[in-house]
Amino acid sequence: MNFEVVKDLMADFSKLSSAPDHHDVRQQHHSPLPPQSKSKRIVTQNVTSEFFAAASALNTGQLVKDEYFTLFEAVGALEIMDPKMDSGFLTSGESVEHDYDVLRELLPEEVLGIMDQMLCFEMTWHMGHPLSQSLFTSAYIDQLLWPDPKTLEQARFERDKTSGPGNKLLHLVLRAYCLGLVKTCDFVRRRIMSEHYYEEEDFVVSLYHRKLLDDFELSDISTKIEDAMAFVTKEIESMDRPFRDALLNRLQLRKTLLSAVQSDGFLDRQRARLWERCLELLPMLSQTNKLGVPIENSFGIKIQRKLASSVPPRPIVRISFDEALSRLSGICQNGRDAYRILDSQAGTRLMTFVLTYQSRIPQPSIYIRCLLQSLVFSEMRVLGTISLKQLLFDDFEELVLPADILVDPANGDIEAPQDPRFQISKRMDAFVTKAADCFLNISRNLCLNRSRLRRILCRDAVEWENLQFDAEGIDTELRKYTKEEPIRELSAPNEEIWSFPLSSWAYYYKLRQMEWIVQMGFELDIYQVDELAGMYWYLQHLASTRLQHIERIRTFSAHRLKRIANPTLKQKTSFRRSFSFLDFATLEASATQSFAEGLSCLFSFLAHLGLIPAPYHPLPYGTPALRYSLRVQPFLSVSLPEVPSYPEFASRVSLHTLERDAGDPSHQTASTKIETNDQAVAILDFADQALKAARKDWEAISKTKAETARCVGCEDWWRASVKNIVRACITANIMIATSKKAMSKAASQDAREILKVEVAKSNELYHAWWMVPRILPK
Amino acid sequence: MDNTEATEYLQTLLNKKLCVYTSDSRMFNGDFKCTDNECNIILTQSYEYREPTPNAVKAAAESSSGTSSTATLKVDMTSRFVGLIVVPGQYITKIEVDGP
Repeated sequence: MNFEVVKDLMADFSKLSSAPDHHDVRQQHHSPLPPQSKSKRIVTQNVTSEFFAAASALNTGQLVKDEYFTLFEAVGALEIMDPKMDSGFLTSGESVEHDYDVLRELLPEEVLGIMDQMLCFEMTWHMGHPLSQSLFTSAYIDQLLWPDPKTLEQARFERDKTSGPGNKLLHLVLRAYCLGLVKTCDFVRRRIMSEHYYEEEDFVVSLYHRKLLDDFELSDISTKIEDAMAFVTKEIESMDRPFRDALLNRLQLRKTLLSAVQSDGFLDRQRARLWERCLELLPMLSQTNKLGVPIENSFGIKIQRKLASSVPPRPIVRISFDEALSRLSGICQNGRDAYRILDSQAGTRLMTFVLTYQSRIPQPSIYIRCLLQSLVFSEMRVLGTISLKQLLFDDFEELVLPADILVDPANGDIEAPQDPRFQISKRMDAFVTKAADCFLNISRNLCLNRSRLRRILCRDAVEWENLQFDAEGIDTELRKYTKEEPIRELSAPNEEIWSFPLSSWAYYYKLRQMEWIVQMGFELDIYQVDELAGMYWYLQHLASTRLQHIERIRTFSAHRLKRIANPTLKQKTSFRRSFSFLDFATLEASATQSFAEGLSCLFSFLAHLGLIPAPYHPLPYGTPALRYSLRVQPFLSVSLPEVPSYPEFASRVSLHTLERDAGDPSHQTASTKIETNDQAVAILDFADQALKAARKDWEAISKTKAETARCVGCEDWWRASVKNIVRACITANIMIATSKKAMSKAASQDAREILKVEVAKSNELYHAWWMVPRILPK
Repeated sequence: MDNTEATEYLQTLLNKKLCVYTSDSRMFNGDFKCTDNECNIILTQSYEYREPTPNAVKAAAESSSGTSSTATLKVDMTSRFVGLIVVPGQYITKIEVDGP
C-alpha cells in the first residue's frame, strides 16, 4: 500500500457540513448529510496509482460494481465535465462566479426593469418551472440568500462588507422589493406544500439548499418595503415623477401581494379585498413597464452551478411581461373569487362551487387550487367554521333525511344508554367518521389538475362502494331505534322495502362521481371518435340510474312526511328544502340523460353510415369488446350499478356497424343501401327526440334560481357554464336537422357522398363535456 | 497486476467513500459504486467541492485584518450536493479513499 496521508481538513470539511439545508436535501434527494468528521482530522489514503493500475488491468467491457447497483441506475448518472450534463463545468478561463456586479449603482429605470424581470420569473415559477430556471438565476436574489442569512439584516447585497458601494435605490428599494418577493414565494410554496399537488406536474418545490427567508417575520419585511416607499416618495430632486410613481406602484403591489398570500388568518374574508387591491395596481404596472430598462446580465444560468442539484443544467425559462401580467392578474382574480366559497355553507353548494370554479378555462393556477383546498378544509373545520359532523348531518338531511331523528343534533346530549337516541347518536357518529374523508375528498379532489382528477375519481369509486356497503349495515341496525316502517307495494304485499337512508346517500354520490369520470373522459379527449356513441350511452345509463335512485329517495321522504300528523314549521322547511334539492337533481339528471342519449344516437347514426372512422378496427388485436372492457374498467370494482356485459352494451348502442371492416358500409352485403339508410334515419329520429327533450331540460335549468340550483356564490360562472351547454344542445339540434334534410334527399345514395363530419377537440367545443360533432352537407 | 488481482482490489473499495479530483480542480466525494477499464468512476450521494474563488480569498484576506501576514488563511471550499455522477477516467487527477 501507498503512504498514508493525514490531512487537515479543517478548511474543507468541517465548515462544509453546516452549509446545506439538510432537511431540504433529504426531502428531495434522499441524500445523507455531507461527510462530517467527528474529530477534525480525517485519515485519507491516496490510491491514485493503484486504482489506475487496477482499472487498466480490467478487460474491455468488464465492470467492477456493487452487486446492488444496476446499470439501469447508472444511466441516470450525471457525467462530470460534460457541458450538457455537468452544471459545474467551466470552460477554460471561466470563473464559477457570476461576472455581474451586484453592487453597482442603479438608475431608477434599471431598478424598474429588474423588478419587472423578476415578476416574469416569479410567474414562470407559478407555472410549474423550478426556481433554478427562474428566480434563482438572478444575481441579486442569489446574493441575498447565499450564504444563508441568519438575520434579516444579513440578507443584503453587500453581505460581509460594512459599508459597500452602491446607492440607496439598490440597498433600500431593490433590496426591499427582493425581500418581499422572496417572502411571497415562501408563503406560496408553503401553501402549496400543505395541500394535495403533484410535484413536477403542477409545481416544483425544490429550493436547492436555499431558504426563502422563512425564519423572518412578515412584519419586518413589510417595514422594509414601507421604508423604501418613504424613501422614493421623498426623492423629488433626483427622480422624475413617472419613475417615482412606477417604483411606488411596484412596492405597493409587492406589499399587498405579500399580505394576500400570508398564512396567518388566510380564512379571513377580507383577504378578497387585498387581492382586489392587487388587481387595481396592475393597470399602472402594465403602463409603466416601458419605463424600465431590463438588465439581462443580472440573470444568469451560471448560478445553477451553486445550487445543489442532481439534474443537468437547464435553460432559463422566459415569458413576456404581458404574459406574466396576465398570469398575475389571473391569480389575483381567482384569489379574490376563491373567497366567495365562504358563502357556500352547505355540502351540495360547496360541491357546486368547487366544481364550477375549477371547470373554468383556463383552470386556476396551482397556488389558487391549493388555496381553495385550504379554504374548503383546514384545522378540522370546513370553510373555517363548520365541523365535519355538521357538514355531513346537514347533507344527510338535505338529501335523504329531512327532519329525521337520525340527524337531530340533540341526540348527542342523551347519556342514558337505554335511550334509543343514545344508540342512534353512537352509530351516526361512527358513520360520520367513516364518511367524512370520502365526502370531503370530493370537493378537494376537484381542485386537482384535470387529468389527476379523473384518475382519483376512478380510484375513489371503490371507496364509495365500500362506504355504501358499510352504510347498509348501519342502516339496518338503526331501524330498530327509529321504528322505521317498511313500504309494502300493493302488487307484492309481503315484500318489505326499507329506506336505507345512509346507503342511499352514499350511492347518490357514487353515481354522481361515476358520471364525472365519463364526462372527464370527454374533456380530456380520452375516447376515440368511434367510441363516443358507446360512452355517451354509458353516461345516459348512469344518469338514468341516478334518476331512478332519486325517485326512490323521494318516495321514502314523501312516505315519511305523510306519517307526520302535524308537521312543525321546522319540519316543513326541512322537507321543502330536501324536495327542492331532489327536484333539481331530477331535472339535472334527466337533462344529462337526454343529452347523452341524443349524442349517443347521433354518433351511432354517423357510424352506421360510415361517416366517422373506426380507426382501430383493422388492427389485429383490437376489438370493440376489448376496448369496451378497458373503458369500463374503473367501474368493474363497483357492484352497483352493475356494468352491462359487452353484448348487452353493443345491442343497446347499435354498435354492430362497427364490427364491419373499417366502418365501410359497402362491405355489408346482406342489406342494400336503402335499408342501411332507413335504419340510420330511424336512429336519427331517436336522437332528434332525445335532443329536443335535452334542450327543454337545459333551458329549464338555465332559468333555475341560484338558491334552488345550489350555486349561491358561483352563480355567474354556473350560469355561463349552463349557457354553454344550452348552446351545445342547440347546435346538436341543428346538426340533426342538417342530417335529416340531407338524408331525405338521398334515399339510396351513399351518405358519405352527401355529408361531411368533423369532431372537434374538447377545448374547441362550447362545453368540454358535450362533444357535438359538426355535420355539414357536401 | 493481473485481472483477478485487479478485480479483487477494486472490489475492496466498493461502497467506500472516495474523493475523486478532476483536472478542473474540483473534488467529488461520494460512495464508490462502479468502474471499468477506462477508470470511469460512478459515485452515488456525492458532493462537489470547489476551491474558493480568488474573490472569496481576497474578501477573506481583507476581513482577517490584524493577524500577521504569515498566518494561514482559512477559506471555506464551496460545496453542493450533486447526487449520482460518473467521472470519466480521462479527467481524474487523484483518487483518495477515506479511512485506512
